[in-house]
Amino acid sequence: MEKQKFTIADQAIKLDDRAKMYLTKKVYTLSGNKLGTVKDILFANGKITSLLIKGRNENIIDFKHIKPEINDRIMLSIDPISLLLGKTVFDKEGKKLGKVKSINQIDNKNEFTEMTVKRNIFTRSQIIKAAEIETLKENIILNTEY
Amino acid sequence: MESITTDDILGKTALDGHARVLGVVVKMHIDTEAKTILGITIDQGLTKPDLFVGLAHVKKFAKNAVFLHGLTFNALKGKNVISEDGERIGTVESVVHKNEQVVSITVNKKVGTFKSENTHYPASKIKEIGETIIVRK
Repeated sequence: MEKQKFTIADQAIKLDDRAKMYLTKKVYTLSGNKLGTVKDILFANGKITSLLIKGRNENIIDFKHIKPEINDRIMLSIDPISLLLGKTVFDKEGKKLGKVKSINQIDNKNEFTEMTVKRNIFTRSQIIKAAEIETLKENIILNTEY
Repeated sequence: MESITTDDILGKTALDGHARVLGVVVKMHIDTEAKTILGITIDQGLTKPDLFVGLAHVKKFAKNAVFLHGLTFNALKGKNVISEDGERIGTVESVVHKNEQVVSITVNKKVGTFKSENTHYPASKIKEIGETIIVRK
């Protein structure tokens, strides 16, 4: 019984050390955009499965997208699609359509089929398909005219 | 061939290659001898000086905005620079460019309270330019 208690405590110490590597660290995406800071860590069967990152939005990032080298900051191997939220959308002729309000994600993948864009509370939402996006950087430029 | 007038250009929003809103087009510059357009001036707001952009940098005069190629080099100054593995390196102090391409950047890093050191990175070492610049080690 005492031997079992020692093993569980030992595992807890190891997990605690690993968790400290990640908690409160700043997280940057593949494109160099700051996503936020690590607020919590999710475990399953003694292994880290994902990190809860809090920035402009809350993101749960699968651990497989975290680059193994940990330094001052944590680097991701992806650009999470949640970063699209709040970006301004312009059409092909530069007409401002509004801001991204929601994204239609494909299962649990980092991909989406369409997004909802709205200019203000008095206007209708518009559905924009992912294939219509030409430029996706600080804001979004479409390849079609609205 | 579609033609437009200065009414269609002046007062329009200027967007760079990263879809960043630079400001509003306020002037158009014309070479009086060659009778060609040299470029445009963009009003970047109260806190920044006006920005002159050569015609070669203009991608398209669209109905509602003027689209520019790439990033304006001024936009890179002051950006944070980190390495591929997340190590903070410093901030961009200056940019060397040629033919609308970045040739190199100089990154300033504070070493102690009053000291700082500059490190030079050629374009080949720059991995990604976003909100932050990522460089290869």
